[in-house]
Amino acid sequence: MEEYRNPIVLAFVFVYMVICVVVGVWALRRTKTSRDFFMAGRDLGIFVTGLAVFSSTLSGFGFVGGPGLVYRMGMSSMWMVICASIGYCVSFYLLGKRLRLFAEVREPISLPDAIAARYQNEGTRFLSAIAIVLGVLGYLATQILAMATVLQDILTRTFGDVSIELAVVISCAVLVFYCVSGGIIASVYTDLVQGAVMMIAAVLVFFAARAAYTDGFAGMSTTLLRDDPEAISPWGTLGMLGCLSWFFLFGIGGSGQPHIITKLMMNKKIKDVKNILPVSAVAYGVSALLWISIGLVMRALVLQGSHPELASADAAAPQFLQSYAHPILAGVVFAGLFAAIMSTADGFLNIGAAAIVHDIPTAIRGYALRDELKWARITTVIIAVVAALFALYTGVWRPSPDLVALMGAFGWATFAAALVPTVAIGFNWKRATATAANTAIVSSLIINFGIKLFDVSVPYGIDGGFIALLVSLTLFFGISFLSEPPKIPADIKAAMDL
Amino acid sequence: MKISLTLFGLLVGMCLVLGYVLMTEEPPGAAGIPHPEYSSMQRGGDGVARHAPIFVAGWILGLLQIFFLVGLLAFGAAKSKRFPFEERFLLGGAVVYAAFFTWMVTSYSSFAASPSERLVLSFPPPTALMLYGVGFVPLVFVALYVIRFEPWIIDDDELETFLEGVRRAKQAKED
Repeated sequence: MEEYRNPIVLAFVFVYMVICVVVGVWALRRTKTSRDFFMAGRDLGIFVTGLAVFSSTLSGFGFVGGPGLVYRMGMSSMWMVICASIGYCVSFYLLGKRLRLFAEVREPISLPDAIAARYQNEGTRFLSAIAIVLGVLGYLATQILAMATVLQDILTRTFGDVSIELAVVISCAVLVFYCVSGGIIASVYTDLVQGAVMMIAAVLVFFAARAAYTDGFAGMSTTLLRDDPEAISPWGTLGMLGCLSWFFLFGIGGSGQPHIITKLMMNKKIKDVKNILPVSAVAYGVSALLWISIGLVMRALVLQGSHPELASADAAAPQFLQSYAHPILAGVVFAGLFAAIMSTADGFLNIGAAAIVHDIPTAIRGYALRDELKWARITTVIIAVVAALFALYTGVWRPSPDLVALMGAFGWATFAAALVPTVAIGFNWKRATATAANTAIVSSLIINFGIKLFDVSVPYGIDGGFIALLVSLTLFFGISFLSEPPKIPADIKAAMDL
Repeated sequence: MKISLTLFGLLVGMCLVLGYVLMTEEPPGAAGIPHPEYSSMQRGGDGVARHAPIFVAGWILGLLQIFFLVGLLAFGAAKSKRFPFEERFLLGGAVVYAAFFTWMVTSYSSFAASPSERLVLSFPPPTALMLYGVGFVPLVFVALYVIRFEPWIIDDDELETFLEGVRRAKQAKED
């Protein structure tokens, strides 16, 4: 069967993509209004919402960048994973009920819609929409780059030299097709398939990784220990403060990720959130097995001299699958990789389109565009093209050994620092003011982009996003305490009191 | 004390710790050094030396973060009516969470000073504490959310009254 490895892998990926296209066509018939396109008609069940929340969280960043970070830094990046248990709790305790109640009262079709309703301020809507567009471009570029990296690896093994540009075109074409045709309905139902594929893939990979090394994970730990005890210590090679900055950023940051929390407005019954939390948390926990197992086994194999050194850390997952997994397993996992990437990317396309077509015009002109559905579809294509160019161009501009992971962390931080105070705190705290929200968004963008663009090196490996989040949260609380309590409309107040 | 004020205090505490850390002199290789044989990998080097100036600050920062995170859960669940059992459970959970973190930090301190090959569930003891302790403790908050959802998170009667109000408001708007 080994000689058919590449055709088998390609077949699995092809079948997966066909499923996505079929779901897109099916969803096209159910998408009649912009409300359907952006909010799935608020008609989703527990499992669909739960798996959509989880699969949007675990993106190409997790499936490609995560193992790469473990390979490169040892256990450091596990702080991004172990914070998920408290992170999901924070998101659901703060927003599970609250966002759905806001949806009941004002029927928003985007997150900035809900923000404008809460703060009674179009400036806050505008700034949050801008933060979303900026974050979407950076984060979506990561997903496209991750998808193209994996596809290029597969196609090159079958057809010879395939350019990264061609890989970007093919992967984007499928993604754009189902997002344009079926909007968020296609997105969440492909998320259901994608989530299931990811969980199966992660469990199978975990056992394959254990089998690929003598004495399994204990053997890997011993090999890492003998080379560098710090790598297998809780802080990995990055060190204590770098890890804690990730713990905070990723622990709280989930409640500021618009592609994730928007889905908390889409469930059919308000009380369903009770069961959506465990579904999402367990699914994430199972799928995160892939993150640690591939990274550890590849680092140990290279240190042991059983595998040549990787050209880049991002190659850890594709290399493991091509070299150590059974061909059928490799096929399932490669499909899982595409699932992880696409399930996040489709969410980005959707919220990005909503920000551009609905929120920015509403904030500036006071009313939305005519024929929003048509413009949403056109904008989805444009965002995908711009993000694809950004992905290719950024790689040339500043080549990095772990570009997918770094860009992913930056995209996460952009959303987290801008939206956690405004949404997660502000939707639960009547004292929060529009001025505080605007200041938090602007300060977070300045710090995040300032550190990135000017290549500021923060001591001890502390993530710049952590500083941006800490500053924006502190300013948000501080300014709100110093301001007059705002006047809140009765219906919003009722939703906040419940 | 109001939860919002406590959260603000914890944030200010984190800012102070961060300020202190940024003022200390960073030891060489504090965030890792290139692996001498494999350029795609990093090494941590001497754990004691690179953490020496910030070890206590890091421990305090971790504790502040844990209490802030659990504080956010209390903030999200807070209502005008008191729920003593749930409030005590959250506080107890935060203490256990902080205790596991402290245990991991002290275990790492011994491990960094004299690394041994002893493994617990396939990992060195401090790493096992991180993965199975610090990583899993918050699942008790998931259980609390599911089990005590009614009436703690949502009270059926209050929800019905709220939905009725929304229905009436929409009806009035249509009329």
